[in-house]
Amino acid sequence: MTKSFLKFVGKWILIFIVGSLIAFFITRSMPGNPVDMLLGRYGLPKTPENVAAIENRFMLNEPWHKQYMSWITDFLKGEWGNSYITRSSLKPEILRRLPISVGIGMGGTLMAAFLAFFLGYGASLKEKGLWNYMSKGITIFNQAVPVFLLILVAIYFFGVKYRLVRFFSGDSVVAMVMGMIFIALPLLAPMSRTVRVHFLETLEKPYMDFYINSGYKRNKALLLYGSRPAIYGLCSVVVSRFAWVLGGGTVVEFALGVHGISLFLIDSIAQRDYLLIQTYIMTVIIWMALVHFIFGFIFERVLYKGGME
Amino acid sequence: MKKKFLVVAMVLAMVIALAACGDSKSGGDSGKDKDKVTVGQTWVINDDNPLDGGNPWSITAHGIGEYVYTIQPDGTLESRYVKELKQVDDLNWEGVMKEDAKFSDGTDVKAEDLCKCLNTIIEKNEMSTASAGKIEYTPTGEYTFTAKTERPTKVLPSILAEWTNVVFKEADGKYVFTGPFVIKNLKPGAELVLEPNKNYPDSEKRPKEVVIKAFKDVNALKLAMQSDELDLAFGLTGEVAKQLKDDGKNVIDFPAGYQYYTFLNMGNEALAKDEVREALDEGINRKEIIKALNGGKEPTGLFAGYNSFNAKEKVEFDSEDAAKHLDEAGYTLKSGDKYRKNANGEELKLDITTYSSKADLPIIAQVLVSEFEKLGIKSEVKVVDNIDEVADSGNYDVLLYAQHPSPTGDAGYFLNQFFRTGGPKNRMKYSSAEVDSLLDKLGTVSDKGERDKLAVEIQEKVIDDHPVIMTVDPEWHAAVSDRLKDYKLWNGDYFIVNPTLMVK
Amino acid sequence: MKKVYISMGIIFLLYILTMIISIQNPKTVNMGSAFLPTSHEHLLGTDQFGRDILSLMIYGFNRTVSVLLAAIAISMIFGLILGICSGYFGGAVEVFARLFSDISMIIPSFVLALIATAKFGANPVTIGIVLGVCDIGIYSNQTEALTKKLKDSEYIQAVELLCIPKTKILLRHILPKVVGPALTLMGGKAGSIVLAYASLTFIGLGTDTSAPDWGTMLYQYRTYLIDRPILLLWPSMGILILALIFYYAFDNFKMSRSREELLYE
Repeated sequence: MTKSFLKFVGKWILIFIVGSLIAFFITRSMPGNPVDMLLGRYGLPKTPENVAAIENRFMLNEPWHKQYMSWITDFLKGEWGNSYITRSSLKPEILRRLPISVGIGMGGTLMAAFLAFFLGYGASLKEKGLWNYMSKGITIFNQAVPVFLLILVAIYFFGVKYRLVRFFSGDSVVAMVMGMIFIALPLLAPMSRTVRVHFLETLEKPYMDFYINSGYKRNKALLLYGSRPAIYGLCSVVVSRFAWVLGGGTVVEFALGVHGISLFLIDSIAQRDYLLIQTYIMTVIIWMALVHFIFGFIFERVLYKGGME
Repeated sequence: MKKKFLVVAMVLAMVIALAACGDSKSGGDSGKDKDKVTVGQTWVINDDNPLDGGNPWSITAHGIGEYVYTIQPDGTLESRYVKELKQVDDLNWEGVMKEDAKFSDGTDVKAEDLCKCLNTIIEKNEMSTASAGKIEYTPTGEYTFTAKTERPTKVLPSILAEWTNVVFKEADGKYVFTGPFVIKNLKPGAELVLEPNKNYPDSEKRPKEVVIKAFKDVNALKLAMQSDELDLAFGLTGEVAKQLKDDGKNVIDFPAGYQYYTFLNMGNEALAKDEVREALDEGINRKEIIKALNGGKEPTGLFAGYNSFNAKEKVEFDSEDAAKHLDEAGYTLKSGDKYRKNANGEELKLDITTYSSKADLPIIAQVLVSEFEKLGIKSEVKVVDNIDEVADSGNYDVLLYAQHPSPTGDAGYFLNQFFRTGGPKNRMKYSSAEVDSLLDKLGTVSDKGERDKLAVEIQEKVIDDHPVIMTVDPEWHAAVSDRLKDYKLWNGDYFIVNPTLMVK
Repeated sequence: MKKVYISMGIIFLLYILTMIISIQNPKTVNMGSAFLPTSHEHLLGTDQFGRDILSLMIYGFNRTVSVLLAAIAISMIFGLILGICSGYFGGAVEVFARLFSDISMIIPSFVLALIATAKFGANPVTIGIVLGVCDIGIYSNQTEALTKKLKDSEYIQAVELLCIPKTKILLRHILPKVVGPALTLMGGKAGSIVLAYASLTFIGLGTDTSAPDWGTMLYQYRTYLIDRPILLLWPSMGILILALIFYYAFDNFKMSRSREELLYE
């Protein structure tokens, strides 16, 4: 336990260090820079004084190792600094937006997993059955129609034509739920295929013949004895999705105007807000470490100890 | 087995019910609420500090703050604070204030407040010294003050109309402004709730609550307007505005103030030739551009049409004459060839570099490419994300660029920046001794009529030399609900929420 | 294998064909003939700028396939190498490979796309490479898991006992077995790569709309989704057919097995 724990910590410290270096250099290798963006935005001439004033404000005139060290030590101390563009403090803003993105992402993933279980089960019953075609159909559909178009269609029909849902006014619960649905949609198909494969494997197991021979209905026996491996397979997919949950909702946040962390990131990329982009990448790394720790480390250990397979 | 499908059906029903449930919760405070107006635009402020970055501009666009001088729809300047501003000598000015302006907390705006505010801005916001260096304001009486500039200027009112110079004061650790609305509630970057400033004229006619929401995608903005969730949708593209018009919505088309320019890089071998630049000017059918944008006017000068100092040149479309010019320049089209070639057999290729944050530009670029290809010039569009860096590097042929040339009602700043030899934004490598000397003259004249005449003269010379092709004098669009039918918009995106926001 | 040859052959032929076929200039804007219905002159009609949609589709096919091939090549080659090495050698190699694949998924693709397009221009291959880099992790994770399973199998353990060089084991005995599932994974992702490009455009990546690929066409016509859905139909159909061809070609893909392997089984 301690050895693997140390290994886990070591690995993530390594990722943290390498990730922070990459985050630092990747922002600086982006075309354009905050100075140009700021001057351009306010229609100011690029005089040496103006450039120096802005560079000075953001420490951009310091050598890179100084900039890096000052950023990373501040970050570790929990001082995440201020946005270049708005000068507002990043930490409260990120912490406010994080739950929104995480909520939509996790909610959507769980929604997809829940539906995928039944869809996958249905699809495993009959190769040429309705459910199998449906699961295949959704797969293909997702390949040809981008999510942003689906969202526009949904807003049109539910919001404009039939006036069932008010997407943009009132509290953001509606937008959150819709966001979850659109996160779930592209996940549903591949997840249902995973579930189907697990059920099919169960069908080939010799004990299935035994159950069927001893009077169980085939479908019922499959659900009874195939569910556990299917849910296991599904869980591992869900956990791996959780780790990537932050970046996955960008298009959804953008189209529905949900102000999560991805939307924040897009704005800051457009403005070359180095600090925010770096902080975002570090937040993702910390989030991933957390997910892997909770699910891959504690969760699995507890499950093993609990005597489950 | 049927049970399982029932479960799936139930889950679906649950999801829809959940969505509908969120709906019923929010149904009450819909956009139809009589005293509440909802505005959709692409951004919302993060905080109200008037000294931070571009915040003074954003605060004013939200209707919270007000500049010392505000540009009017006809391009002239007006102030609620300053009655008279007289130049004493090159560097010194004397000002007399109006006595009826108030801060939103009800206190009067006196010379002491104004000078303190402007001095703080000069000290804290580096961007405020761009035009005349540091300026020192000193109150000389309750409603009189003096100003001393670091560099000579003839247009202090225009400087006071610049986006940094928003009137504010600090009281109890909070910022107090003078615009038609005050902040009631702010979700940074996402949603801003305003209420009328009781100390601004006509406050009782304004809606009790204005909600500004940030939308990222213009289609979402359109759909929100169509579902009657918005009273004002700002920042529509031409095609979306047309669709909303077709849908029976009210659309305000207003002169953008911003102009779209096609700059030609005279460092380019082909574009260094006068004939080629003239050919491009003649060979572009601006009517096609205007149709593609669903609005706008053919430009007659380098400024928006409403400005008194805009030139009155006529643009001609003559593709045959353009072809002749290209032949003269040595780029001929042989039968069977798709593109023109020079004597060495090299194809004439001019790429158009632009950016997408102004949605109209890629559309114009598309028409330009088509027009270039019709002339036998091979062309591609390069959409870049760092337009100023690319432009400064000189690494382009044709630059399609949006710029507001006169946000403060003055022509001098723009002309100096873009067309003076070696000017900071002269990316065309344009150089004309005549233009330079006219610009020098403009710097010494303070009479408005005289300045206008000089500005027109400069434009005529520049247009004749073709370092830039006048492209389109654009219109921007906003959709409004019936009760905001009389709403006025002007000067691009500087005053999205403004004092004319009143509910019938 | 036959269906792979056939499908890829079709795509290759079309690719060549679209390069030499003579079409109307897809860049030609003609506002006077916007939104024309299907006619002899414009088989698929025209769009809001009066451009010929058939020409755009033919021109766009070429660009679309370029995006796809670049993305697939990058993600598969690097994904397989990382996955096999990491699964087989374990230890430090594994840590390094995982680090690389994790980080390839952490860096926002939007940022990568901006960097790449500024350095190499916004052409389909550049974007394809970026999308490929962001997918490396998916392939390497799958391959790593499979390789680990294989390594523990009696067959590979037997091969190892024969003192065959490591590179030969990796190339002759492990690679053929992990390529199949990787190809199946790829076959199911073809369409989503095209859409990923469109999504990047949607959230603000600049793109040349005068020379669109099919995904960019979807982005460009999204405003007409309700009023003129026919505009969106053509590129959607194109992407769908392309996705189906890839799906069909590589579904349940298996390499022919080596003789030793068959003997062993």
